[in-house]
Order: sequence, then C-alpha cells, then structure tokens
Amino acid sequence: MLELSRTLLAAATALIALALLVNVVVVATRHRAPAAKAARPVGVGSGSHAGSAASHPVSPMSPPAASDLAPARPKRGVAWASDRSVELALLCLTAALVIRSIVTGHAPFANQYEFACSFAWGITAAYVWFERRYNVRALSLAVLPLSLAMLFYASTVSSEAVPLMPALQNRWLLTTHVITAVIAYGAAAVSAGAAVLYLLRPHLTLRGLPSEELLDEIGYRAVVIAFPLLTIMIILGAIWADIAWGRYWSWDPKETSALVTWLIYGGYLHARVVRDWRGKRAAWLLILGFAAVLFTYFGNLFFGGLHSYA
Amino acid sequence: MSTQIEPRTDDHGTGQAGDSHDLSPTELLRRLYALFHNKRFGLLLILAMAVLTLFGVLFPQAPGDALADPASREAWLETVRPRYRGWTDILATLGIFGVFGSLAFKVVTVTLALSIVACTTHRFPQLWKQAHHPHTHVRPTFFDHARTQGTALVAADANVTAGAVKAALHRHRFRTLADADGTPLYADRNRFAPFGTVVAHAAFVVILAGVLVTSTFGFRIDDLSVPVGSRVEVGQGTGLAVEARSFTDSYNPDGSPSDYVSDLVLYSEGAQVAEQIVRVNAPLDWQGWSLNQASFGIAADLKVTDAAGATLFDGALPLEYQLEGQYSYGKATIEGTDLLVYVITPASGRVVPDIPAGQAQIEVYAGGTDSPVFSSLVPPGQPVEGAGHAWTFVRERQYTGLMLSRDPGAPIVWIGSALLAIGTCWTMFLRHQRLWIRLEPGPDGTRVTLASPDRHDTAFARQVNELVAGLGDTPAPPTTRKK
Repeated sequence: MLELSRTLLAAATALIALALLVNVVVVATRHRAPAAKAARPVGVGSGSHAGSAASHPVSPMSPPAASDLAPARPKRGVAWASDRSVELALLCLTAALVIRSIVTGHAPFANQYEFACSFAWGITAAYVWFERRYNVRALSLAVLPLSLAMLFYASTVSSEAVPLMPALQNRWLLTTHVITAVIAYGAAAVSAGAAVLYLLRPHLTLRGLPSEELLDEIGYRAVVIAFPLLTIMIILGAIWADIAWGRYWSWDPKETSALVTWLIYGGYLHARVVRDWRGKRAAWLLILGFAAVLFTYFGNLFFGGLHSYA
Repeated sequence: MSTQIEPRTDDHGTGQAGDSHDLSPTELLRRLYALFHNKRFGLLLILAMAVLTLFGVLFPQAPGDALADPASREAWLETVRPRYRGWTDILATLGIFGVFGSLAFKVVTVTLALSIVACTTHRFPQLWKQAHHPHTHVRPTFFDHARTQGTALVAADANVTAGAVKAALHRHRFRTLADADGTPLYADRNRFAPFGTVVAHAAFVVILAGVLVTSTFGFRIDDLSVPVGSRVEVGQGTGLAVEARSFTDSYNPDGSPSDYVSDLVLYSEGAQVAEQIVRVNAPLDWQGWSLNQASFGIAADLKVTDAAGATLFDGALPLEYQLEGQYSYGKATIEGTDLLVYVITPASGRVVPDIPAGQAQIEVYAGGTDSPVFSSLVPPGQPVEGAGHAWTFVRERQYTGLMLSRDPGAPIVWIGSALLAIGTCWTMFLRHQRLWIRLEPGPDGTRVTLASPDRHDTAFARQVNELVAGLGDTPAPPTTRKK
C-alpha cells in the first residue's frame, strides 16, 4: 500500500511537471486580442441599445483585464489537457495521502516527508481553486514550481512510515492543527506566486500574463484564505501546547516563526488600507510572508526546539 | 504707529519656540490619540514586532531566569560564545538573547495594544454609521468613476424598473434603501462584516491581558522530579504533594519512543484529591492545577545523617545532568548546613573506569568552594563517614519528571483566541458589498446603473454582471476602472 502511495506521488509529480511545461508554452505563445475587440465602452448596453448611452464616458480596458472578466478557452486543446493534468495530479496526491493515512493510522503530518507531500497537496489544491475561480493560467508559472519543489524535497527524505512519537499522539489536534497549516501555506504559495508575477510583469514580454490589478487581487484573496487559517493553526497549536507541554506559549522557534509569519500577513492586510503600501510594496510583503512560511517549515532543521520532530 | 511682529512658532518649537507656544493637555491627548489610531503607525508597530520576534527565532534565547543574575548569565553566555565569539557580549548587551523579555519588545507590545484600542475606538463610529446610516445620495459623476459598474436598459417605466431592481437585489440577499418615492438608491450585503475587525482587534488585546495575568499570577515548576514509589512535597505554599506509583517508558522496534506513562496521585493538604495515568497528551487537571509529563530518568536514593544520628536528608536525587556523556549526576543542598552534595554514577549503558557499575561517587563541597571537602566511592546500602556526616547511597531508581502549573490567565487567552478566530474569519470570509443605484428614464425604457467604489473584486463584479443580466434584455457587462 505504501508503495502505491509513493507511485501516486511520482505520478502527481510527472503530471504537474508536464502541465507546467505546457503552460509555459501556452502563456508564452498566447495571441493578444485584437485592439478593436479589446477596447469596449464602459457601462453601455450592447446591441440595439448601445447607442443610447452616449452620455457615459468611454474608456478602453487593457486586454488582460478584459480577459479577466470574460475568459474564453479552447475546448479541447493542450491548455485544456494541462488543466486536467493538474487536477489529475491533485487527485493522485489526495489518493496518495489518504492511502498513507490508512496504512499509518494517522493523518500524514507526522514528519518532514509527510508534511512535504501535504504541503505540495496544499499548494496544488490552492492553485486549482484559484485557477478555476480566476481563470489565470499564468499563475501556474509561479505556483506549480513550488509544488514540484516540495515533491522533489519529499523524495530526498525518508518515506518510511513510523509510529507517532508521544508528543504527537493527539490525533484530533494533529489533524486539525496541521491541516489548517497545509491549506494556509498552500494559499500563501498562491499569494506569493501572484506577487512574483506582479513584480515581474513589467519586465516580461509573455503575452498571456494577467493584468497587475488581477494579480494584486489574487494575492489579496489568497491571503484572505491564508490569514484566518494561520490564526486558527496558531490557536490550535497553543491549545495543543497547553495540553502536552503545560503552557500555551513557549517561544519555541517553530511557534515563534509561525507568529512572525502571522504578523507579516497581518502587516500586509493592514498595509492595504494604507494607500502607499499597495502595489509593489504589498507584493514584496507577500513574498516575505511566504519566505516566513518556508522558514517556519524548514527552520526546525536548524534550530531544534520543541518541534524538532516535525 | 508701529507694528510688532511676533516670531512664528510651530508645534515643533522651531526658532524661539517654547516661549509662546504650548499645548493644552486635551490637545496633547488628541494628538496622541491621532498618532495611535494612525494606520501607518499601527503597520509600523506590527512590522517592528515581526522583526523583534524574528530576532528571537534567529538567535538562541536564554531559558527562564538565566540572564537574571551575573553568574548564571555568564554561564549561559559561555554556552553560546563558541558560536558568536566576539559578538557574544555585543549581542547580549543589545538584548538579543532575551528578546521576549526585553524592554523594546514590551514597549512595542504595549504600544501596539494601545494602537489597536485607539484604532478600534476611532473606527467604530464610522463602521456603525456605514452599517446603519450609509450615504445613499451620490453625485452623478460617482457612477462614472466607480470601480465596479453594471448597466442595463429595462423596457419599462421607472416605477416598474424600481420594483424589479429591488426584487433582484433582494434575491441576491442585498438590503435596499430607497428614496422617499420608493426609488432604490443604495443596496448592501453583509453590512456587519466590518465589525469582525473590531472583534479581532479586541481579541488581540484580550490575549495580551491573558498573557499579563499568566505572567503575574501564574505558578509554574518545570522540573518536578518524583522518584517512582515516593511522594514529593511541592512546597512554595501550594500545600500539594505528588506521588508517583509507577513510570513506564516504552519503545517501538526501531528504538523510537512510543509512550511515557506515569501513574500519579495528587495530594492537597495531605488528602488525596486526584489520581490519574498521565501521558504527554493526557495531563492531570485538578482545580486549575495541571500536572504534565515532561521527562524521566534515574534517581539516586540518598540518606544523610549528622554526627548525632539525626536525618538531614532522605530522598531521591534525580541524576538529571550529564557530564561528557559518560556520567550522570545530581546535586542537592543539605538543609541546615552549607554543604552541597553531588552524587555521580555512570551514565546509562556506559562503563567508566573510575566508578564501578552499581556504585556511586559522592562529592561534598562546603560554602561554595571549588574543591570537595569529602569524596568517596560508595557501594549501595553502606554508609560512609565524611565532612562530619554519614552518607548512604541507598539505591538507584527511576523518577518521572513533571511540570506543575496553574495558569489563571489561560481562560482569558482562550476567550481572546476564540474571539480572534471568529473576528478574523468574520472579517476575511464575509465582505461588506455596497452598490449605489441610478435609474434614468428614457424613450426606450429605464437605464439602470449599479456601481460600487470599493476595491475591485472579480467575483463581485461577476455577480453584478449576473444581476444586471437579469434586469435588462441586452445588458452590458460590468466594468472595472483603474484607480
């Protein structure tokens, strides 16, 4: 059974890599919409009523922004296959993690290997959700490499199934505490991917990139998911710490890193209400936030502490 | 006629300021309040806290009161000196090794709490007004500049269209506010969503209050060692005693630990009040007290009597320290004397040349001296004379290491945490969505325009699109303007 789980993970890795490759080609070679079609009157009824809105101003929208609202996709091209490939990869990842959970008897969050696989699942799931919601294929160029990196990392550490150590023997809290982290981190990866594209967009000649406004919105929307889950994750961690270690906060390196991450995203959300901190500065905060996520995950490799097993 | 020109001064007291310029206490408080509710100031405080916390992660933090007195501080600094070398003292002076107890961290935390209170109280009236008495009338140009906008032409007169618009909005769970003649002017959904920020911000202050209560009134012993089969008085005015009936550590076939189990009995004022099998994730809780499994090890039973035969010490000494990985040792001060005794045994599984298996070495120091006044190898059960006392290493036995705590701040922290989770989800997952409505009668019908100035949201824009699509026969898609 564990071998099946590993095989599914390998299949997911291949599918994501394939989808990424296809998306690079699709985004790089996408044709711009003709200018005449891209520029539309604002707030004007179409068809026979179009002429009746002469009092409204006319302002052209940029082609990417127009496509943000009115996406059009080829029905069964390679882009379609790429989307299905990522969804199939997500299915494989889900099946692999479920199988591992059945074999080990606990949620797959007990060591670096299991969390790396779950992290990859979180990133892929968040990407699929945002891609379906916003129809922004270019997001994959920045997000799917993160998922692949996690899967590659997982392949470098031991995948042996080991029993839970005493500190982790709280199945309900293990599951809820870490699943919130997995989803939050996945959403954080999407926000960082959107931020990277936001910053690179002026310097890239790729035609299929979405508008800066949409990337900014995706980054924000991803944090809207990540931040409450990070909050719940930290609170559940505090509850668990109180049960297992007798205190709700110990300034342990991993929990402190999680607090830093939370503060950075809290800072980002507050920065958005300060006009000067939108745009590039906010994008840098998103990247910093995801760097903090990675630091929280990998940090205990260097710092030890009460989370040294995780 | 002459004109006397007063020197100009400003709030910062330039020139000859201070002579004629002053601030009333009310004005000072107003300015302080303005500073604290300034969002940019709040943002800087959050980032400052993040930076300080990051220092706390990147640099090792001295445990407990290690930095409290010069001796323990120097001893702890010696442990990090090989790593930081010449920077050690500089970093220590900057408080880097005790970030979370530093003045800077406390100042930032308190200032952030004040900022949160100021922000919340300043914003609350605005939120209340926005929820209950929003501006319903806007200028015509508002609709031209709105970030999200949808327009439809309805082939009906204004009254019929007004009814259709209201019905459509109500179907989408919008509240509508209308003019005196029934013309809808404004619609919104989730109008109480912004109050989630009030809850979340208040929660942060509640949590800080809980932490303050914990640090002020909390009680904690991190290393309560109870030898198996014995009862240990906790002391410190608690009236508690803990008995360990048994301790079991079990392991998986690969050698990793699988469970640590202590069978404990808790006594209060001499009476048994609780008993429980305690595991890492199953502490013993009794009337606010909590006993957690923390560690375990080997203890040495030691008996010390004076020349008159009076027993000065009779108990288990946890061998909780390690020396070069070869020896385990424990230490205790003998009450009523200035003697400090060390009991040293080979570490578990080790064979050392100077202490035969099964025996212990006893070293006694007097008055803080560096050289022992008495040192001897002691077989179990055989008393030896030295330093005016008789020393008996009775036997080795296992001890369970416990944490005993009582934290009156924890319930406050949990209330704050619940509020934080609720407030954050409330704010993030619900969004106050506002639409202003314009109806323009014309020869072909009534043109309906829905517009919102709020930050662009693609999903909301699509909903507006669907909404206007349901109104007119040929609606235009909603549009987004760049601001």
